[in-house]
Amino acid sequence: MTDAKNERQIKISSSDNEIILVPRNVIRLSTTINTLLQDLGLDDDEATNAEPIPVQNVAAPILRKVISWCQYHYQDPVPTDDSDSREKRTDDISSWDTEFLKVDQGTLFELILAANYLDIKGLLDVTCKAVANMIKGKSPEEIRRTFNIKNDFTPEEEEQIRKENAWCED
Amino acid sequence: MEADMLLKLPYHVQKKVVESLDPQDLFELSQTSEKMREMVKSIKIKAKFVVSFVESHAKVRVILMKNQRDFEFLFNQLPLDNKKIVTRVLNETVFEECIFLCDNKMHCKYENVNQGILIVFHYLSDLFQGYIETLAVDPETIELERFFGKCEGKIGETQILKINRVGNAISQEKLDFLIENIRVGSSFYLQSNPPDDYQNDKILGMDIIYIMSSHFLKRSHLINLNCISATFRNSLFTYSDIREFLCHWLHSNDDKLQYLEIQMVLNLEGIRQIRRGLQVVKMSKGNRDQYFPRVRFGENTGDHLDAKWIHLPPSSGPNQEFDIFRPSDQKLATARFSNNLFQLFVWHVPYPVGPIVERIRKMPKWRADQIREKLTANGLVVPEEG
Repeated sequence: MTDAKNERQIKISSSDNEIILVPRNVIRLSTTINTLLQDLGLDDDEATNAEPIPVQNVAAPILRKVISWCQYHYQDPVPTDDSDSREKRTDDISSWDTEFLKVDQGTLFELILAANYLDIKGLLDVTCKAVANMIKGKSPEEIRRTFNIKNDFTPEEEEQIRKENAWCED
Repeated sequence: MEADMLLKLPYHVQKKVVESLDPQDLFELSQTSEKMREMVKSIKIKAKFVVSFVESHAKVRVILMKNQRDFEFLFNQLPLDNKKIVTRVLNETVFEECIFLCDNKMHCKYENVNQGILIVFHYLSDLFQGYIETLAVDPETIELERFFGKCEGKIGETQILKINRVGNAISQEKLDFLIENIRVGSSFYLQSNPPDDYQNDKILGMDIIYIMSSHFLKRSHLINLNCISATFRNSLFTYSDIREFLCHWLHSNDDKLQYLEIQMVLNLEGIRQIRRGLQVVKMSKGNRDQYFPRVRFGENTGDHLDAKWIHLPPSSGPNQEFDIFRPSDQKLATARFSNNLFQLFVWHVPYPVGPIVERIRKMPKWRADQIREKLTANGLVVPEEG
Protein backbone atom coordinates (compact mmCIF):
# COMPACT_ATOMS: atom_id res chain seq x y z
CA MET A 1 0.00 0.00 0.00
CA THR A 2 2.95 2.38 0.58
CA ASP A 3 3.76 1.99 -3.12
CA ALA A 4 0.27 3.10 -3.98
CA LYS A 5 0.61 6.30 -1.96
CA ASN A 6 3.69 7.38 -3.89
CA GLU A 7 2.09 6.78 -7.23
CA ARG A 8 0.34 9.03 -9.67
CA GLN A 9 -3.07 10.13 -8.41
CA ILE A 10 -6.31 10.13 -10.37
CA LYS A 11 -9.06 12.63 -9.61
CA ILE A 12 -12.57 11.31 -9.51
CA SER A 13 -15.73 13.13 -8.55
CA SER A 14 -18.75 11.63 -6.85
CA SER A 15 -22.39 12.21 -7.72
CA ASP A 16 -22.49 14.87 -4.98
CA ASN A 17 -19.49 16.62 -6.59
CA GLU A 18 -16.87 15.67 -4.02
CA ILE A 19 -13.45 15.24 -5.61
CA ILE A 20 -11.38 12.32 -4.39
CA LEU A 21 -7.78 11.49 -5.28
CA VAL A 22 -7.05 7.80 -5.84
CA PRO A 23 -3.69 6.19 -6.64
CA ARG A 24 -3.62 4.99 -10.27
CA ASN A 25 -2.82 1.40 -9.33
CA VAL A 26 -5.68 1.27 -6.86
CA ILE A 27 -8.34 2.53 -9.25
CA ARG A 28 -7.06 0.05 -11.84
CA LEU A 29 -9.43 -2.44 -10.15
CA SER A 30 -12.30 -0.52 -11.72
CA THR A 31 -12.58 -1.69 -15.30
CA THR A 32 -14.89 1.24 -16.04
CA ILE A 33 -12.39 3.91 -14.98
CA ASN A 34 -9.43 1.97 -16.30
CA THR A 35 -10.97 1.75 -19.76
CA LEU A 36 -11.98 5.40 -19.64
CA LEU A 37 -8.42 6.49 -18.80
CA GLN A 38 -7.04 4.40 -21.63
CA ASP A 39 -9.66 5.66 -24.09
CA LEU A 40 -8.96 9.28 -23.16
CA GLY A 41 -5.22 8.77 -23.55
CA LEU A 42 -4.64 9.64 -19.92
CA ASP A 43 -3.09 6.35 -19.04
CA ASP A 44 0.47 7.30 -19.98
CA ASP A 45 0.28 10.82 -18.67
CA GLU A 46 2.48 11.27 -15.60
CA ALA A 47 0.46 14.21 -14.34
CA THR A 48 -2.79 14.08 -12.40
CA ASN A 49 -5.79 14.60 -14.64
CA ALA A 50 -6.93 18.22 -14.44
CA GLU A 51 -10.60 17.43 -14.90
CA PRO A 52 -11.92 14.84 -12.45
CA ILE A 53 -13.54 11.74 -13.87
CA PRO A 54 -17.21 11.93 -12.97
CA VAL A 55 -18.65 8.90 -11.17
CA GLN A 56 -22.18 10.10 -11.45
CA ASN A 57 -23.97 7.13 -9.93
CA VAL A 58 -22.02 6.93 -6.69
CA ALA A 59 -22.21 9.30 -3.74
CA ALA A 60 -19.06 10.34 -1.86
CA PRO A 61 -19.51 8.14 1.27
CA ILE A 62 -19.97 5.02 -0.87
CA LEU A 63 -17.19 6.02 -3.25
CA ARG A 64 -14.79 6.44 -0.31
CA LYS A 65 -15.81 3.00 0.93
CA VAL A 66 -15.26 1.51 -2.51
CA ILE A 67 -11.81 3.12 -2.66
CA SER A 68 -10.90 1.79 0.77
CA TRP A 69 -11.82 -1.71 -0.47
CA CYS A 70 -9.69 -1.19 -3.58
CA GLN A 71 -6.77 0.09 -1.48
CA TYR A 72 -6.79 -3.12 0.52
CA HIS A 73 -7.22 -5.42 -2.48
CA TYR A 74 -5.37 -3.74 -5.36
CA GLN A 75 -2.45 -6.17 -5.11
CA ASP A 76 -4.66 -9.28 -5.08
CA PRO A 77 -4.37 -11.68 -8.01
CA VAL A 78 -6.76 -10.75 -10.82
CA PRO A 79 -9.99 -12.73 -10.33
CA THR A 80 -10.82 -15.07 -13.19
CA ASP A 81 -14.04 -14.78 -15.15
CA ASP A 82 -17.04 -16.63 -13.82
CA SER A 83 -17.30 -20.01 -15.37
CA ASP A 84 -20.69 -21.64 -15.55
CA SER A 85 -19.24 -24.90 -14.31
CA ARG A 86 -17.50 -23.35 -11.30
CA GLU A 87 -19.25 -23.79 -7.99
CA LYS A 88 -20.08 -20.49 -6.36
CA ARG A 89 -19.19 -20.60 -2.67
CA THR A 90 -20.32 -17.99 -0.20
CA ASP A 91 -18.43 -19.18 2.87
CA ASP A 92 -15.03 -17.97 1.72
CA ILE A 93 -15.29 -14.25 2.57
CA SER A 94 -12.04 -13.09 4.18
CA SER A 95 -12.08 -11.66 7.71
CA TRP A 96 -11.12 -8.19 6.41
CA ASP A 97 -14.04 -8.24 3.96
CA THR A 98 -16.37 -9.53 6.67
CA GLU A 99 -15.49 -6.48 8.79
CA PHE A 100 -15.73 -4.22 5.75
CA LEU A 101 -19.24 -5.50 5.00
CA LYS A 102 -20.57 -4.88 8.50
CA VAL A 103 -22.78 -2.09 7.19
CA ASP A 104 -26.50 -1.47 7.05
CA GLN A 105 -28.37 -3.05 4.19
CA GLY A 106 -28.87 0.21 2.34
CA THR A 107 -25.11 0.74 2.24
CA LEU A 108 -24.56 -2.88 1.17
CA PHE A 109 -26.90 -2.48 -1.79
CA GLU A 110 -25.29 0.85 -2.71
CA LEU A 111 -21.89 -0.85 -2.61
CA ILE A 112 -23.23 -3.54 -4.96
CA LEU A 113 -24.54 -0.92 -7.37
CA ALA A 114 -21.26 1.03 -7.18
CA ALA A 115 -19.19 -2.13 -7.74
CA ASN A 116 -21.41 -2.94 -10.68
CA TYR A 117 -21.20 0.58 -12.16
CA LEU A 118 -17.44 0.80 -11.68
CA ASP A 119 -17.06 -2.83 -12.78
CA ILE A 120 -14.96 -3.97 -9.81
CA LYS A 121 -15.34 -7.73 -10.04
CA GLY A 122 -13.88 -8.66 -6.67
CA LEU A 123 -16.06 -6.19 -4.78
CA LEU A 124 -19.16 -7.23 -6.71
CA ASP A 125 -18.44 -10.90 -5.95
CA VAL A 126 -18.00 -10.38 -2.23
CA THR A 127 -21.04 -8.10 -1.83
CA CYS A 128 -23.24 -10.55 -3.75
CA LYS A 129 -21.98 -13.34 -1.49
CA ALA A 130 -22.92 -11.24 1.53
CA VAL A 131 -26.47 -10.86 0.16
CA ALA A 132 -26.67 -14.60 -0.59
CA ASN A 133 -25.57 -15.33 2.99
CA MET A 134 -28.41 -13.14 4.24
CA ILE A 135 -30.90 -15.37 2.37
CA LYS A 136 -29.44 -18.76 3.22
CA GLY A 137 -31.26 -20.90 5.76
CA LYS A 138 -34.15 -18.46 6.20
CA SER A 139 -37.88 -19.07 5.87
CA PRO A 140 -39.87 -17.00 3.36
CA GLU A 141 -41.16 -14.76 6.15
CA GLU A 142 -37.64 -14.19 7.52
CA ILE A 143 -36.39 -13.34 4.02
CA ARG A 144 -39.29 -10.91 3.60
CA ARG A 145 -38.41 -9.21 6.87
CA THR A 146 -34.69 -9.12 6.08
CA PHE A 147 -35.11 -7.52 2.67
CA ASN A 148 -38.38 -5.68 3.20
CA ILE A 149 -39.96 -7.70 0.42
CA LYS A 150 -43.48 -6.65 -0.45
CA ASN A 151 -45.80 -9.61 -0.26
CA ASP A 152 -47.83 -9.71 -3.44
CA PHE A 153 -49.58 -13.02 -2.85
CA THR A 154 -53.34 -13.29 -3.11
CA PRO A 155 -55.41 -12.76 0.10
CA GLU A 156 -55.97 -16.54 0.37
CA GLU A 157 -52.25 -17.11 0.26
CA GLU A 158 -51.64 -14.38 2.83
CA GLU A 159 -54.10 -16.10 5.13
CA GLN A 160 -51.95 -19.19 4.94
CA ILE A 161 -48.85 -17.19 5.81
CA ARG A 162 -50.63 -15.88 8.89
CA LYS A 163 -51.42 -19.46 9.82
CA GLU A 164 -47.76 -20.27 9.44
CA ASN A 165 -46.80 -17.48 11.83
CA ALA A 166 -49.41 -18.67 14.29
CA TRP A 167 -47.78 -22.08 14.32
CA CYS A 168 -44.41 -20.49 15.02
CA GLU A 169 -45.79 -18.66 18.03
CA ASP A 170 -47.17 -21.82 19.67
CA MET B 1 -34.80 0.27 3.75
CA GLU B 2 -36.41 0.67 0.37
CA ALA B 3 -38.78 -2.20 -0.45
CA ASP B 4 -37.77 -4.96 -2.85
CA MET B 5 -34.17 -3.79 -3.25
CA LEU B 6 -33.28 -7.28 -4.48
CA LEU B 7 -35.65 -6.82 -7.40
CA LYS B 8 -34.09 -3.50 -8.31
CA LEU B 9 -30.60 -4.90 -8.78
CA PRO B 10 -29.37 -5.30 -12.36
CA TYR B 11 -30.10 -8.72 -13.88
CA HIS B 12 -26.53 -10.01 -13.84
CA VAL B 13 -26.16 -8.99 -10.19
CA GLN B 14 -29.38 -10.84 -9.32
CA LYS B 15 -27.94 -13.78 -11.26
CA LYS B 16 -24.77 -13.70 -9.19
CA VAL B 17 -26.75 -13.76 -5.94
CA VAL B 18 -29.22 -16.41 -7.08
CA GLU B 19 -26.54 -18.69 -8.47
CA SER B 20 -24.81 -18.72 -5.09
CA LEU B 21 -27.88 -20.16 -3.39
CA ASP B 22 -28.75 -23.76 -2.70
CA PRO B 23 -31.97 -25.18 -4.18
CA GLN B 24 -33.73 -25.03 -0.81
CA ASP B 25 -32.89 -21.33 -0.45
CA LEU B 26 -34.07 -20.67 -3.99
CA PHE B 27 -37.34 -22.40 -3.22
CA GLU B 28 -37.83 -20.37 -0.04
CA LEU B 29 -36.89 -17.14 -1.82
CA SER B 30 -39.46 -17.92 -4.51
CA GLN B 31 -42.07 -18.25 -1.77
CA THR B 32 -41.62 -14.67 -0.55
CA SER B 33 -43.53 -13.00 -3.39
CA GLU B 34 -44.75 -13.52 -6.93
CA LYS B 35 -42.24 -10.98 -8.21
CA MET B 36 -39.40 -12.75 -6.43
CA ARG B 37 -40.51 -16.04 -7.94
CA GLU B 38 -40.46 -14.46 -11.38
CA MET B 39 -36.97 -13.12 -10.65
CA VAL B 40 -35.66 -16.58 -9.67
CA LYS B 41 -37.31 -18.05 -12.79
CA SER B 42 -35.68 -15.44 -15.01
CA ILE B 43 -32.21 -16.67 -14.02
CA LYS B 44 -33.02 -20.01 -15.72
CA ILE B 45 -31.12 -22.25 -13.35
CA LYS B 46 -30.47 -25.66 -14.85
CA ALA B 47 -31.58 -28.65 -12.82
CA LYS B 48 -32.64 -32.24 -13.12
CA PHE B 49 -35.44 -33.94 -11.25
CA VAL B 50 -36.03 -37.26 -9.57
CA VAL B 51 -39.77 -37.89 -9.42
CA SER B 52 -40.99 -40.91 -7.51
CA PHE B 53 -44.66 -41.78 -7.27
CA VAL B 54 -43.93 -44.95 -5.34
CA GLU B 55 -45.82 -44.66 -2.08
CA SER B 56 -42.98 -45.56 0.27
CA HIS B 57 -40.63 -43.20 -1.58
CA ALA B 58 -43.04 -40.55 -2.79
CA LYS B 59 -40.83 -37.58 -3.52
CA VAL B 60 -39.70 -34.86 -5.85
CA ARG B 61 -36.01 -34.07 -5.76
CA VAL B 62 -34.39 -31.22 -7.60
CA ILE B 63 -30.64 -31.41 -8.27
CA LEU B 64 -28.77 -28.37 -9.55
CA MET B 65 -26.68 -29.25 -12.58
CA LYS B 66 -23.89 -26.89 -11.61
CA ASN B 67 -22.98 -28.26 -8.20
CA GLN B 68 -25.24 -31.29 -7.67
CA ARG B 69 -26.79 -29.66 -4.58
CA ASP B 70 -30.31 -30.92 -4.02
CA PHE B 71 -33.59 -30.29 -2.30
CA GLU B 72 -36.25 -32.91 -1.70
CA PHE B 73 -39.97 -32.89 -1.02
CA LEU B 74 -41.11 -36.11 0.59
CA PHE B 75 -44.78 -36.94 0.93
CA ASN B 76 -46.76 -39.10 3.27
CA GLN B 77 -50.21 -39.25 4.77
CA LEU B 78 -49.14 -39.42 8.40
CA PRO B 79 -49.57 -36.45 10.74
CA LEU B 80 -46.46 -34.40 11.49
CA ASP B 81 -45.11 -32.80 14.65
CA ASN B 82 -47.19 -29.62 14.98
CA LYS B 83 -44.58 -27.50 16.71
CA LYS B 84 -42.28 -27.32 13.75
CA ILE B 85 -44.90 -27.22 11.07
CA VAL B 86 -44.74 -24.64 8.31
CA THR B 87 -47.14 -23.95 5.48
CA ARG B 88 -46.16 -23.58 1.87
CA VAL B 89 -48.36 -22.39 -0.98
CA LEU B 90 -47.53 -23.76 -4.39
CA ASN B 91 -49.49 -22.90 -7.49
CA GLU B 92 -52.50 -21.92 -5.37
CA THR B 93 -52.44 -25.22 -3.51
CA VAL B 94 -51.86 -24.98 0.20
CA PHE B 95 -49.62 -27.51 1.88
CA GLU B 96 -50.58 -26.87 5.46
CA GLU B 97 -48.37 -29.43 7.11
CA CYS B 98 -44.78 -29.31 6.02
CA ILE B 99 -41.70 -29.83 8.13
CA PHE B 100 -37.97 -29.62 7.58
CA LEU B 101 -36.47 -32.79 8.99
CA CYS B 102 -33.00 -31.90 7.82
CA ASP B 103 -31.46 -29.08 5.85
CA ASN B 104 -32.49 -30.08 2.38
CA LYS B 105 -35.53 -32.28 2.98
CA MET B 106 -39.04 -31.03 3.43
CA HIS B 107 -41.61 -33.58 4.54
CA CYS B 108 -45.21 -32.89 3.64
CA LYS B 109 -48.40 -34.47 4.80
CA TYR B 110 -50.95 -34.47 2.02
CA GLU B 111 -53.99 -36.68 1.63
CA ASN B 112 -53.44 -37.33 -2.04
CA VAL B 113 -49.74 -38.10 -2.28
CA ASN B 114 -49.65 -38.39 -6.08
CA GLN B 115 -51.51 -35.12 -6.46
CA GLY B 116 -49.03 -33.48 -4.06
CA ILE B 117 -46.07 -34.73 -6.08
CA LEU B 118 -47.59 -33.36 -9.27
CA ILE B 119 -48.15 -29.93 -7.74
CA VAL B 120 -44.66 -29.71 -6.26
CA PHE B 121 -43.07 -31.00 -9.46
CA HIS B 122 -44.90 -28.44 -11.57
CA TYR B 123 -43.89 -25.65 -9.21
CA LEU B 124 -40.23 -26.67 -9.17
CA SER B 125 -40.05 -27.43 -12.89
CA ASP B 126 -41.43 -23.95 -13.50
CA LEU B 127 -38.86 -22.42 -11.15
CA PHE B 128 -35.87 -24.31 -12.57
CA GLN B 129 -35.04 -25.30 -16.12
CA GLY B 130 -34.56 -28.99 -16.50
CA TYR B 131 -35.81 -32.46 -17.20
CA ILE B 132 -36.78 -35.57 -15.28
CA GLU B 133 -33.63 -37.66 -14.91
CA THR B 134 -35.22 -40.44 -12.89
CA LEU B 135 -38.86 -41.40 -12.90
CA ALA B 136 -40.13 -44.06 -10.54
CA VAL B 137 -43.78 -44.97 -10.93
CA ASP B 138 -46.37 -47.47 -10.00
CA PRO B 139 -48.30 -47.15 -13.26
CA GLU B 140 -51.47 -48.57 -11.77
CA THR B 141 -51.77 -45.76 -9.22
CA ILE B 142 -51.20 -42.65 -11.32
CA GLU B 143 -52.81 -41.28 -14.43
CA LEU B 144 -49.85 -41.70 -16.74
CA GLU B 145 -51.29 -39.90 -19.76
CA ARG B 146 -52.15 -36.87 -17.65
CA PHE B 147 -48.73 -36.78 -16.00
CA PHE B 148 -46.85 -37.20 -19.26
CA GLY B 149 -49.09 -34.63 -20.92
CA LYS B 150 -48.23 -32.08 -18.25
CA CYS B 151 -44.52 -32.91 -18.37
CA GLU B 152 -44.15 -32.21 -22.06
CA GLY B 153 -40.52 -31.40 -22.80
CA LYS B 154 -39.30 -32.60 -19.43
CA ILE B 155 -39.73 -36.33 -19.82
CA GLY B 156 -38.09 -37.22 -23.16
CA GLU B 157 -34.61 -36.98 -21.64
CA THR B 158 -35.41 -39.32 -18.76
CA GLN B 159 -32.38 -41.49 -18.20
CA ILE B 160 -33.68 -43.84 -15.56
CA LEU B 161 -37.15 -45.34 -15.55
CA LYS B 162 -38.12 -47.43 -12.56
CA ILE B 163 -41.41 -49.26 -12.55
CA ASN B 164 -42.10 -50.23 -8.99
CA ARG B 165 -45.04 -52.48 -8.38
CA VAL B 166 -43.35 -55.25 -6.50
CA GLY B 167 -45.15 -58.56 -6.71
CA ASN B 168 -48.06 -57.08 -8.65
CA ALA B 169 -49.13 -57.34 -12.24
CA ILE B 170 -48.76 -54.58 -14.77
CA SER B 171 -50.74 -54.34 -17.96
CA GLN B 172 -49.14 -54.53 -21.39
CA GLU B 173 -50.74 -51.21 -22.29
CA LYS B 174 -49.26 -49.27 -19.38
CA LEU B 175 -45.85 -50.83 -19.69
CA ASP B 176 -45.78 -50.02 -23.40
CA PHE B 177 -46.84 -46.46 -22.70
CA LEU B 178 -43.98 -45.93 -20.26
CA ILE B 179 -41.34 -47.58 -22.41
CA GLU B 180 -42.39 -45.71 -25.53
CA ASN B 181 -42.11 -42.40 -23.71
CA ILE B 182 -38.50 -42.62 -22.65
CA ARG B 183 -35.48 -42.57 -24.85
CA VAL B 184 -33.48 -45.60 -25.93
CA GLY B 185 -30.20 -45.77 -24.03
CA SER B 186 -31.79 -45.13 -20.66
CA SER B 187 -31.69 -47.36 -17.62
CA PHE B 188 -34.77 -49.45 -17.14
CA TYR B 189 -35.82 -51.15 -13.91
CA LEU B 190 -38.93 -53.27 -13.92
CA GLN B 191 -40.07 -54.46 -10.52
CA SER B 192 -43.43 -55.78 -11.50
CA ASN B 193 -45.02 -58.75 -13.24
CA PRO B 194 -45.66 -58.11 -16.92
CA PRO B 195 -47.97 -60.46 -18.86
CA ASP B 196 -46.39 -63.81 -19.85
CA ASP B 197 -46.51 -62.92 -23.53
CA TYR B 198 -45.21 -59.38 -23.09
CA GLN B 199 -43.16 -58.19 -26.03
CA ASN B 200 -41.56 -54.79 -26.62
CA ASP B 201 -38.21 -54.79 -28.38
CA LYS B 202 -37.42 -51.27 -27.14
CA ILE B 203 -36.53 -52.80 -23.76
CA LEU B 204 -33.59 -54.57 -25.35
CA GLY B 205 -32.16 -51.25 -26.51
CA MET B 206 -31.90 -49.73 -23.03
CA ASP B 207 -28.35 -49.40 -21.74
CA ILE B 208 -28.98 -50.81 -18.28
CA ILE B 209 -31.78 -53.31 -17.78
CA TYR B 210 -32.99 -54.79 -14.51
CA ILE B 211 -36.06 -56.99 -14.64
CA MET B 212 -37.28 -58.59 -11.47
CA SER B 213 -39.77 -61.00 -13.03
CA SER B 214 -38.21 -62.15 -16.25
CA HIS B 215 -40.58 -65.05 -16.92
CA PHE B 216 -41.80 -63.35 -20.11
CA LEU B 217 -38.34 -63.25 -21.68
CA LYS B 218 -37.55 -65.73 -24.43
CA ARG B 219 -34.36 -66.97 -26.05
CA SER B 220 -34.82 -64.42 -28.83
CA HIS B 221 -34.60 -61.63 -26.25
CA LEU B 222 -31.18 -62.88 -25.18
CA ILE B 223 -29.95 -63.14 -28.74
CA ASN B 224 -31.17 -59.64 -29.57
CA LEU B 225 -29.79 -57.91 -26.47
CA ASN B 226 -28.25 -54.54 -27.26
CA CYS B 227 -27.34 -53.24 -23.82
CA ILE B 228 -24.37 -52.60 -21.55
CA SER B 229 -25.71 -54.44 -18.54
CA ALA B 230 -28.71 -56.69 -18.07
CA THR B 231 -30.00 -58.38 -14.95
CA PHE B 232 -32.85 -60.84 -15.34
CA ARG B 233 -34.25 -62.18 -12.10
CA ASN B 234 -36.67 -65.12 -11.80
CA SER B 235 -36.19 -66.15 -15.39
CA LEU B 236 -37.43 -69.28 -17.14
CA PHE B 237 -34.34 -69.57 -19.31
CA THR B 238 -33.01 -73.07 -19.93
CA TYR B 239 -29.44 -74.37 -20.22
CA SER B 240 -30.00 -74.59 -23.92
CA ASP B 241 -30.92 -70.88 -24.02
CA ILE B 242 -27.70 -69.95 -22.21
CA ARG B 243 -25.60 -72.15 -24.44
CA GLU B 244 -27.25 -70.69 -27.52
CA PHE B 245 -26.59 -67.20 -26.20
CA LEU B 246 -22.90 -67.91 -25.51
CA CYS B 247 -22.46 -69.42 -28.99
CA HIS B 248 -24.19 -66.37 -30.45
CA TRP B 249 -21.96 -63.98 -28.48
CA LEU B 250 -18.83 -65.83 -29.62
CA HIS B 251 -19.79 -65.35 -33.26
CA SER B 252 -21.22 -61.86 -32.96
CA ASN B 253 -19.53 -58.49 -33.07
CA ASP B 254 -21.43 -57.16 -30.04
CA ASP B 255 -19.01 -54.81 -28.34
CA LYS B 256 -21.61 -53.23 -26.08
CA LEU B 257 -22.48 -55.92 -23.56
CA GLN B 258 -20.34 -55.82 -20.43
CA TYR B 259 -22.43 -57.67 -17.91
CA LEU B 260 -25.26 -60.15 -17.97
CA GLU B 261 -26.86 -61.75 -14.95
CA ILE B 262 -29.60 -64.34 -15.14
CA GLN B 263 -31.26 -65.94 -12.18
CA MET B 264 -32.21 -69.50 -13.07
CA VAL B 265 -32.19 -73.02 -11.72
CA LEU B 266 -28.70 -74.49 -11.99
CA ASN B 267 -27.17 -77.91 -11.50
CA LEU B 268 -23.80 -79.36 -12.39
CA GLU B 269 -25.12 -81.41 -15.28
CA GLY B 270 -26.74 -78.31 -16.74
CA ILE B 271 -23.52 -76.36 -16.47
CA ARG B 272 -21.68 -79.20 -18.22
CA GLN B 273 -24.28 -79.09 -20.98
CA ILE B 274 -23.68 -75.39 -21.47
CA ARG B 275 -19.93 -75.80 -21.52
CA ARG B 276 -19.83 -78.82 -23.83
CA GLY B 277 -18.28 -77.99 -27.16
CA LEU B 278 -17.42 -74.39 -26.22
CA GLN B 279 -13.81 -73.43 -26.66
CA VAL B 280 -12.78 -72.53 -23.13
CA VAL B 281 -9.52 -70.81 -22.25
CA LYS B 282 -7.65 -71.25 -18.98
CA MET B 283 -6.74 -67.95 -17.45
CA SER B 284 -4.84 -67.20 -14.30
CA LYS B 285 -7.08 -65.39 -11.86
CA GLY B 286 -4.29 -63.15 -10.70
CA ASN B 287 -4.07 -60.93 -13.75
CA ARG B 288 -7.77 -60.63 -14.52
CA ASP B 289 -8.55 -57.58 -12.46
CA GLN B 290 -7.29 -54.97 -14.88
CA TYR B 291 -9.43 -56.34 -17.69
CA PHE B 292 -12.80 -56.46 -15.98
CA PRO B 293 -15.34 -53.85 -16.82
CA ARG B 294 -16.51 -51.15 -14.47
CA VAL B 295 -20.12 -51.00 -15.47
CA ARG B 296 -23.28 -49.98 -13.69
CA PHE B 297 -25.39 -52.95 -12.81
CA GLY B 298 -28.21 -54.05 -10.62
CA GLU B 299 -30.96 -51.90 -9.28
CA ASN B 300 -28.74 -49.26 -7.74
CA THR B 301 -27.08 -47.38 -10.56
CA GLY B 302 -24.47 -46.08 -8.15
CA ASP B 303 -23.02 -49.57 -7.88
CA HIS B 304 -20.28 -50.61 -10.18
CA LEU B 305 -19.13 -54.02 -11.09
CA ASP B 306 -15.89 -54.68 -9.31
CA ALA B 307 -13.34 -57.19 -10.48
CA LYS B 308 -12.85 -58.39 -6.91
CA TRP B 309 -16.50 -59.34 -6.77
CA ILE B 310 -16.03 -62.21 -9.17
CA HIS B 311 -13.39 -63.77 -6.93
CA LEU B 312 -15.70 -64.07 -3.94
CA PRO B 313 -16.17 -67.71 -3.04
CA PRO B 314 -19.73 -68.80 -3.81
CA SER B 315 -21.71 -69.66 -0.71
CA SER B 316 -23.64 -72.72 -1.86
CA GLY B 317 -24.82 -74.81 -4.79
CA PRO B 318 -22.96 -75.91 -7.86
CA ASN B 319 -20.46 -73.38 -9.00
CA GLN B 320 -18.06 -73.13 -11.85
CA GLU B 321 -16.46 -70.52 -13.95
CA PHE B 322 -14.65 -70.47 -17.23
CA ASP B 323 -13.44 -67.99 -19.77
CA ILE B 324 -14.43 -67.89 -23.41
CA PHE B 325 -12.45 -66.16 -26.11
CA ARG B 326 -13.82 -64.46 -29.24
CA PRO B 327 -11.05 -64.60 -31.84
CA SER B 328 -12.64 -62.03 -34.19
CA ASP B 329 -11.91 -59.14 -31.84
CA GLN B 330 -9.87 -60.94 -29.15
CA LYS B 331 -12.52 -60.28 -26.51
CA LEU B 332 -12.57 -62.46 -23.47
CA ALA B 333 -15.56 -63.11 -21.25
CA THR B 334 -15.85 -64.94 -17.97
CA ALA B 335 -18.93 -67.09 -17.46
CA ARG B 336 -19.72 -67.81 -13.87
CA PHE B 337 -22.33 -70.13 -12.41
CA SER B 338 -23.15 -70.01 -8.74
CA ASN B 339 -26.06 -69.61 -6.34
CA ASN B 340 -28.56 -70.10 -9.16
CA LEU B 341 -27.04 -67.21 -11.03
CA PHE B 342 -25.44 -67.23 -14.43
CA GLN B 343 -23.18 -64.23 -14.90
CA LEU B 344 -21.20 -63.16 -17.90
CA PHE B 345 -18.46 -60.56 -17.46
CA VAL B 346 -17.07 -59.25 -20.71
CA TRP B 347 -13.55 -57.94 -20.38
CA HIS B 348 -13.36 -54.30 -21.36
CA VAL B 349 -10.16 -54.57 -23.38
CA PRO B 350 -9.19 -57.36 -25.77
CA TYR B 351 -7.22 -60.19 -24.25
CA PRO B 352 -3.61 -59.26 -24.91
CA VAL B 353 -2.81 -61.84 -27.57
CA GLY B 354 -1.64 -59.03 -29.83
CA PRO B 355 1.41 -58.10 -27.73
CA ILE B 356 2.30 -61.79 -27.39
CA VAL B 357 2.25 -62.20 -31.16
CA GLU B 358 4.51 -59.17 -31.46
CA ARG B 359 6.94 -60.69 -28.96
CA ILE B 360 6.88 -64.05 -30.73
CA ARG B 361 7.87 -62.36 -34.00
CA LYS B 362 11.06 -61.12 -32.46
CA MET B 363 12.02 -64.54 -31.01
CA PRO B 364 14.08 -67.32 -32.57
CA LYS B 365 11.78 -69.78 -34.37
CA TRP B 366 12.32 -72.64 -31.87
CA ARG B 367 11.33 -70.39 -28.94
CA ALA B 368 8.35 -68.91 -30.80
CA ASP B 369 7.06 -72.42 -31.57
CA GLN B 370 7.38 -73.38 -27.90
CA ILE B 371 5.30 -70.41 -26.77
CA ARG B 372 2.75 -70.81 -29.55
CA GLU B 373 2.27 -74.43 -28.53
CA LYS B 374 1.82 -73.46 -24.90
CA LEU B 375 -0.76 -70.80 -25.75
CA THR B 376 -2.64 -73.11 -28.09
CA ALA B 377 -2.78 -75.71 -25.30
CA ASN B 378 -4.50 -73.04 -23.22
CA GLY B 379 -7.13 -72.50 -25.86
CA LEU B 380 -5.74 -69.28 -27.28
CA VAL B 381 -5.59 -68.97 -31.02
CA VAL B 382 -2.25 -67.51 -32.04
CA PRO B 383 -2.07 -66.63 -35.73
CA GLU B 384 0.72 -68.19 -37.77
CA GLU B 385 3.42 -65.95 -39.27
CA GLY B 386 2.99 -64.49 -42.71
